[in-house]
Amino acid sequence: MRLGADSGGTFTDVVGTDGQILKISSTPDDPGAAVRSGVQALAPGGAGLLAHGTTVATNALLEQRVGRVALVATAGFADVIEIARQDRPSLYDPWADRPAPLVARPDRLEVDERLAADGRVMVAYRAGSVPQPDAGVDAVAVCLLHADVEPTHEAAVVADLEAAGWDVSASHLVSPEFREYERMATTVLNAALRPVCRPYLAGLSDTADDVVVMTSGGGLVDLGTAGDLPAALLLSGPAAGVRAAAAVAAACGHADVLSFDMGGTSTDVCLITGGEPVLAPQHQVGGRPVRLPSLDVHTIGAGGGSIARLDDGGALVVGPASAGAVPGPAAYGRGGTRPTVTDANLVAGRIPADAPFGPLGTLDLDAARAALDDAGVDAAGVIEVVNAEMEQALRSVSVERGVDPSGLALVAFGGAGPLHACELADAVGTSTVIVPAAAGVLSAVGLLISPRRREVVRSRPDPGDLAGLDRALGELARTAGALLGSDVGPVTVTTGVDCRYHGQSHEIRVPAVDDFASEHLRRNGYVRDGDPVEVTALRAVAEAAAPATIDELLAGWEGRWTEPVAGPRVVVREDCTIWVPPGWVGEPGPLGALVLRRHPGSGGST
Amino acid sequence: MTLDPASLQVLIARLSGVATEMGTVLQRAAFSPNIKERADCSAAVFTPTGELLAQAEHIPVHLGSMPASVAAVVEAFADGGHDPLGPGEQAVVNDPFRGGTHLNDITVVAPCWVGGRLAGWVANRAHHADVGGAAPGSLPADATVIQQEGLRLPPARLTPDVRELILANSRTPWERAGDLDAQAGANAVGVRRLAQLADAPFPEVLAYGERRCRAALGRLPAGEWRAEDVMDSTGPAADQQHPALIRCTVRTTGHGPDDRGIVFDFTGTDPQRPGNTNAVEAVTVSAVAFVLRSVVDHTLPANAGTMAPVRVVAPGGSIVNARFPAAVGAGNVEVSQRVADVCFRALAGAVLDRVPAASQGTMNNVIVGAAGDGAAGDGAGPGHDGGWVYYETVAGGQGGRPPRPGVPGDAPHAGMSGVHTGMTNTRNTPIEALERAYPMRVLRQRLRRGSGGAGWSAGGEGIERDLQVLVDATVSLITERRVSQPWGLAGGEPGAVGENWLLPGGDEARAERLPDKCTIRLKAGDVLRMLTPGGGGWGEVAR
Repeated sequence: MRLGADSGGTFTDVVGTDGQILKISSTPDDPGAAVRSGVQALAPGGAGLLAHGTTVATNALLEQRVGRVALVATAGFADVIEIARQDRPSLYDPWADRPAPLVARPDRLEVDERLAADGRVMVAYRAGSVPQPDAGVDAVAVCLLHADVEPTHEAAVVADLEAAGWDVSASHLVSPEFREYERMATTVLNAALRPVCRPYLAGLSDTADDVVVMTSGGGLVDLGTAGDLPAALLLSGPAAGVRAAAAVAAACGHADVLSFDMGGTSTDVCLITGGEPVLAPQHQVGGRPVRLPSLDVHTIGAGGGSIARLDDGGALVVGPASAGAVPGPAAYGRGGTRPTVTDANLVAGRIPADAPFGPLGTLDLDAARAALDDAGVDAAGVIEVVNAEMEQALRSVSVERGVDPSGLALVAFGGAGPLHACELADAVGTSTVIVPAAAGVLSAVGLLISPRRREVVRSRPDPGDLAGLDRALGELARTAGALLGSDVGPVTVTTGVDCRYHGQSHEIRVPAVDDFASEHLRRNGYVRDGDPVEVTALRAVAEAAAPATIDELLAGWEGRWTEPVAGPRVVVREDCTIWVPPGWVGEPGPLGALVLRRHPGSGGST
Repeated sequence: MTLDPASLQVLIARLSGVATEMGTVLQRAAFSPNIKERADCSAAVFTPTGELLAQAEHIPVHLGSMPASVAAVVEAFADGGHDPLGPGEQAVVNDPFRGGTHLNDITVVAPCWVGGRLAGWVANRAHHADVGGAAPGSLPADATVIQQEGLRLPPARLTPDVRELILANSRTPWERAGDLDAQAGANAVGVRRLAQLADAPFPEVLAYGERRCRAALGRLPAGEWRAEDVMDSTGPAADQQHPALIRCTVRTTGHGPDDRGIVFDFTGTDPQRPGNTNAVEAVTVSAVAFVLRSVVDHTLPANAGTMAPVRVVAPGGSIVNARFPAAVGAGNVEVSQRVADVCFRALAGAVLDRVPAASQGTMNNVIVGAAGDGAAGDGAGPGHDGGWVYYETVAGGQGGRPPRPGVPGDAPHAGMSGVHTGMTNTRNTPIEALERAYPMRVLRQRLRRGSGGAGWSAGGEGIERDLQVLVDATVSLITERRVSQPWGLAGGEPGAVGENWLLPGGDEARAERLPDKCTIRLKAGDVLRMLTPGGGGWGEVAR
């Protein structure tokens, strides 16, 4: 038996390859406890494999429960961790602060050493000369200039520190790419998370014969790797949801889709092209850059709990304030008095007042109505406004990649996603919406269908020099394959290169240099015939088979719903509510999905 | 009002969506680091008569100055001598005296025609690293008239001929081509999207902006407040190395929520002088708009209605409303900072607890480069003749901040250190990127300990940065606050002044102090050392 277990803020979801599903309350003080009891409940005799999606790293960072870190940098550059990229987070709010550096000033240490841009030694590192961190430090990050092209100095510093007994994260191992601030910040973050994540992960080692953990990049890694590189776990849960969305969409015949996961406080959107979620070279968590490969998940700070109000210019605005889980929307009857998107959906009849709403029981329609009235806003208006914001987010995610959103299908999940998806599809000109089965535990499903995956990257010291690329890529491919280990079945390795034209400061990742011009044309609208192309980095990704297939997990849902539905209609499923607006029809699709299409002839806007 | 509250907000969201989408396309498709990495660009949407409807700006100095570009284009093509711009046509402008700010900022403007009717305009602006002139980077510190600063484009149809003309005048034509094409492409997207909103009641959006601004102004007491401050110099020459005064009187007008207004009157400001430390009026308006948002309501929408209750009186021929043929390169980057400082200081008289102490008050502009020799020696392909231009602005200290309004018993908010403040917010070039792309090396980049003014909230610290050139090159420095200090507020101490040094061959013993503004030749191995100013402190040090 193989299990997927996704820890969320409120619930921990566990699914099994035998079709079992369990939703239990999370145990925030000891998140492993809920995972253990879930595993115990579904596989009392023991599980062969557990694939885990975790929020432990994310919560530790956002709640500032991380280790005390010392930073060792090239002499003259330790303050880079505070200067960052020198921009401020808000143009007009004088009180908006950058996130505080995770390294206090007295813990910023420097070593005499310097490399030139091509890796030549200008000032040699004298062995043993690294200063020792304060005894109260939990972990050390080392980030020396140009260590991405020549790691010898950094490795020597790391060896000296490890010999003294320190837990060291090295920048050339964590994020071996150029741009020193991003590499430094990622390495520091990794060092800060290790003291929290390692013990947590170690505590799960006996829950199954084989325990694997989901990374932000949408692949599974073993416990040891996850503990060494906890900075790669920050989008663990969302990445799993996107994987499942992509798989369900593919089963329904759609390779180019947007995943749309709208929850209580935020909404995650990710572009999927050719069946594969789009990757980003870096992402942000709590305002901090994390330069590790991740699925390109964009988070919008609006969800079912977003609060609506009239501003002093007479416009109806929704968010950024949120009622969160406590007190939650007025309709939850837990003391919330301000109207939220969920209250609006209830009053508008898009959530049935008499049907049970998850574990909360029935909702309080009168309370929702009173909250809207008191604030002077109407339900339809609140829905229109939040939809307009979501529409812009869907457009941005597509347009940034040079993709026209009107050619995409939407895959809607999360508590509120299926309530808004059809109207959003109308707004961006999309004609198909897919609501997967098991929409309430989709991330747990995604965990089991994700490949084991390792990615390695190497900087090129001289980007203009294209000699020997094939040989270097071949070596890198072998390195990546070896990282997966020998007992994971057949391994597929793909390689890629980060390319740009001479003079540009941004790179595009393509399979080979020859693909660069056409990709640049597709994304940016032009090519520069005859301009020299540079390669700044080489990449290799090794993947082994996922623990399960989507068919295996969702086949049991097939045929559970057989009736087509025509809007306007509210469809209540056990773990989500779907709003089918006028002009839309829904039909049962593969794997229990509901596939909604705009009725031919009923226009949708623009 | 014909729109209900929800439809109004939906229209506002759609219009800002158009601006955001244009900005996204511009940044995605642009060629140069200036747009891609530093985000020195903006995009905006306008009514048929050129009133701003929505804007996506990355740096505040573009906030109030975009409308001037569109107004100039409207005047030249709709009311002026040129044939009107038809569907698919675009105009280009950078003339500071006809809608521009400084010559590097090239604005591309496109009409949006729907079925023979002009539905509105879209525009975007980007900083171009080099548009010709006397020094690489087109910001020669010793310019006295605008002709030394590069190619001046009055509103002109962006034809292939004009494009070629712009490229031919730049030291980095291959970059200009990519960036101009991205600008035109962004507008094309904007036109398509705006056309879908052609029938929307745009005046409602403007009226909304006006209501928001008047409501925010209602939180200021009625009255009149004055402040003054100085630019340390207007150029490197001996007769330019003395201060120029900027004076501002702020007064409220009207009585009730319906007619509350505010005037920023710069009467008494020094006349323009030979040198490039002159701002055109659009830049001054931008600084006023920035301060207003920062002090009264940082969520005010960016539209023409918001500025309707605001009047800016900037005497013609002064350094805050320069006239032809003044050089204006530093107006955008330096005078704008001081105008913001003066406005903040005046408003501190009205609402001391909403105004931070002075931030570093300069952008510390560094422009290094060399012209190519025409021999294509760097093997960089067609059009690449070995010329290069590197432009950076260096961060400094933010002023200490009062307790956050509405938070009783709030803890101190020391100013951030090594951060861009005021009218810019461009990111730096990573040291590893810089050293791999240019013949230069950064020897040190650290915070300047102790440079922030003491206070209940201390001022943030400046930066110490040593930059070495590995080949002979020309450098222009345009900096401020090398004499006058960023002021403290409410009893806080001022921040440290900045310093510029030349270390010939990197030799500390031969270090010589450089003036705040200069264009000099560097020899391979020379080191430029810059210490940027700290922020002032806010409030008396707690005892």
